[in-house]
Amino acid sequence: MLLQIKNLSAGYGKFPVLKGVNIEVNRGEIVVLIGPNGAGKSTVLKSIFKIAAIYEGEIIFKNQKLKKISRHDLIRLGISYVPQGRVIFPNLTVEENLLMGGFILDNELLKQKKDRILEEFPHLKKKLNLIADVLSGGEQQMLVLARGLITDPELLLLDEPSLGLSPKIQKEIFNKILEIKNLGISILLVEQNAKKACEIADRIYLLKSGKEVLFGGKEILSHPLIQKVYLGG
Amino acid sequence: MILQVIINSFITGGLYALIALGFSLLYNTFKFIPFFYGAFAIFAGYFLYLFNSINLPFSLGIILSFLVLIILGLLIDFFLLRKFRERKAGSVIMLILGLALGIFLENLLLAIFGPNIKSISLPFENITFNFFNSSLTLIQLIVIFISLSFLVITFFSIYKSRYGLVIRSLISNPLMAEILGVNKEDIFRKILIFTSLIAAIGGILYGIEYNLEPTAGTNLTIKAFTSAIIGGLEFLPGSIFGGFLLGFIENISVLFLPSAFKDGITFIILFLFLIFKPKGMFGKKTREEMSG
Repeated sequence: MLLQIKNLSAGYGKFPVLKGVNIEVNRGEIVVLIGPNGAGKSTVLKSIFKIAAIYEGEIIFKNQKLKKISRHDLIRLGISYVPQGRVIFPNLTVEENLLMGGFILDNELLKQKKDRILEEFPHLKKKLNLIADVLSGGEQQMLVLARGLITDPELLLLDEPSLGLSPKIQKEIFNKILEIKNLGISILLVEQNAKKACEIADRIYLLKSGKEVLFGGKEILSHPLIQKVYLGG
Repeated sequence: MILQVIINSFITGGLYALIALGFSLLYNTFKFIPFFYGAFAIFAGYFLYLFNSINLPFSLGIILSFLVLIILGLLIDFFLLRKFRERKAGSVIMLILGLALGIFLENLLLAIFGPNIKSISLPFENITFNFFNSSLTLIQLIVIFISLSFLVITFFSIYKSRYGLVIRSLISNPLMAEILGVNKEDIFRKILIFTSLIAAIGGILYGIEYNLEPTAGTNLTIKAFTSAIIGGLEFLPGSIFGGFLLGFIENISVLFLPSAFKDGITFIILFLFLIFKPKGMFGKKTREEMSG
């Protein structure tokens, strides 16, 4: 098992959001967290990166407890986090954004990884010298994905990658996520577009009011709870 | 006359630009307005005066002044700024902290060195060059040379080096920079060392050119703040430009206005920019700001 979240209670200040959540991610799989607004999906990812406060429970990555690992060292362990909202460095160029993605690498390796990532994201190649702020929403999302992958992480945390994008771009993003999976990278995906996310998922967790209320493979898509609340069935 | 104005503008402008660069760097990385920075810089001039007065060699005095100011900067961060950072203090609290620290440092200078003006004596003769009805002293030439060189070096370090890229990413989004592996506290320490060095150079050059008095820091802070506002507080090279422009405007104003009004001009420029162009000449609106 790559990532294990055990009995996690977490939140912001004195306001708990997660109340004893258990999630597991195995190597090479896409695990999707779905649920209504306020269920605590993004807080799971934020807890891993210590943006949300952890009150109780454990997060274990490759048999190592993350409690005492600093936020800036998580990427060195092999966890990459692409937060919600296409968080680029708007005043830096596309190339500089990519280079920051490989901050932990030495110069020689960074150059190799940057060339390789540009093969995987050829559209960015033509835009390297542009200020990232001028890119379209879809391009910015591709940029943050590329930036998150430049270190060859073992686990990619993706928060709402399709949010605010057109259906065409959303399709591209989901195809790209599948490509990433095929590279052998495990993905923990938080997504509002439950239907689309579940199509590419190996396993699905349904969160509600800070607890996981349902989990399993794609077969849970037919569960009445998901049908009723999230898929409009 | 115009040539003399240009020369004087380079002297004052270079100093303002230097202090404004450190000021702007601190503001953008530590995310608070460092209203203590001028007083902090003046400390270096006083240290050099102190080391001179106990007959240490001039060059050793300069090196020691640099070191003492860097240590002072690190102590201020360790015992004060870091505590407020950890508690995620709001912008008003940080503003008051910056002001209070500036007043404290000025009072400390007053208590140690007294209110009288002090001069830093030079180990060489300050010869004067006269040309085209204008004059320039050796020390003024050194002030221009050092401030310009340091500004060029800093500019290239920030825009052409990998370390500079890290600083710019930290300025842009500190949390994202951390997620990507940047040890924020470590970079903060390095920036503090660097801005302390800038302050030390600026404070010493100021002390040599204009003499020292405990309240000089407030004046220097206002100049740095105005320079940074002119160029755009969030755009580092803008503060350099702002420093030179402010120096030029101040020097040209004495041709038409009483020289006692020189500092008043600074405030008028500050107010005009804050009202009509708060993002400065080079400050860019982000996409979010443009869409309201």
